[in-house]
Amino acid sequence: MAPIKSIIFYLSGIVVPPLKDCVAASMPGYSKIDFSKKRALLKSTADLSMGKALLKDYLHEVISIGDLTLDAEKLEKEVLGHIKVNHDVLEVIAETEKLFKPVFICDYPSAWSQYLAEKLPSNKQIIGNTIFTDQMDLKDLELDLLEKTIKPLGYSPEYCLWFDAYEKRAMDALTYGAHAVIFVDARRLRREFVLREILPPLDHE
Amino acid sequence: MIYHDTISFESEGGFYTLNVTEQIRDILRTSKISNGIAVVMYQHTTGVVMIIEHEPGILLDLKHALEKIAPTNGEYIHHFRDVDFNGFAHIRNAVMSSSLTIPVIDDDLALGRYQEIIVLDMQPEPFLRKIVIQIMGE
Repeated sequence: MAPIKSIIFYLSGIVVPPLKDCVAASMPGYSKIDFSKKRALLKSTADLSMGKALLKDYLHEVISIGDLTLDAEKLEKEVLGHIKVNHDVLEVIAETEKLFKPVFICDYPSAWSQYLAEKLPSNKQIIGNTIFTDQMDLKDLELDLLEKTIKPLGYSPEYCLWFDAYEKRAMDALTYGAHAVIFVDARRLRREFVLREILPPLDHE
Repeated sequence: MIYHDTISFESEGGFYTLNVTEQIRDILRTSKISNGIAVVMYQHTTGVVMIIEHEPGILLDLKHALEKIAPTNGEYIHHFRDVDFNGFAHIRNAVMSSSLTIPVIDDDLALGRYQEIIVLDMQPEPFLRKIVIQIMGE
């Protein structure tokens, strides 16, 4: 196995919730929305993440799909309010920072970068090392994202370790030639580092 | 005592996987059953529930193995009725398992260190999907 030289975290689903979950939580009655509308919402969310839609237009679309009574500004505040930071995960990531300068991929709108920086006060380095997907000129959030993230790092994919809560992209990362881990929780994240001898085992492990 | 619940999810179709281990643990806690068995069943004919290590390499290997057993673009008599074209998913479902039985011991699922409960949906298109969980014990 080639030595790992770069670690990449897809933030959504690991450090913060997926954008689609924050939006769904901001829509009362989301569970009763027609499945085809949910699919449309999912596609619009992906378009926003890829910079193909403006945040303002996206919020109006969410209001229309959810038949919401609030305005775009209030909806945005609602969505931001559902961003909860997984501090247990940040602690594990911080342990690796002595060895690596991790790269973070964020599919939230880059317009929220200041808000995220405030949400992650003890981890400002995350925002400093974050690439926002809406600024990457992506064709998709899978293979194209992998290529446009890994190539500029200057390492062959086999030297990169990709963490992702989305199984399909983790599988794509493997196919691309990188090492990949499906994120489950902080305990198992640490276990993956221990298995790769990046972190020492804890006493009880 | 018998307790049941369901987990609904929106499958993206294709080779869609979902780790439901923690959700089932939540249901077990709600049931207040400490010792017994939990049955987990996938309520559709184009997917399965399985216990594996949740590791992308294993999922890719499984995908490749299933492609050999029932190729996505194979010819299936099921397609003759001209309704749907998911014969590969039905065959994979039939040769795998639609349900699991897991011992419940001292308030927890008796899973090994690397064992996770994963749902695999192979329907080509996105669909709403459901699994049923029934817990029996005391």
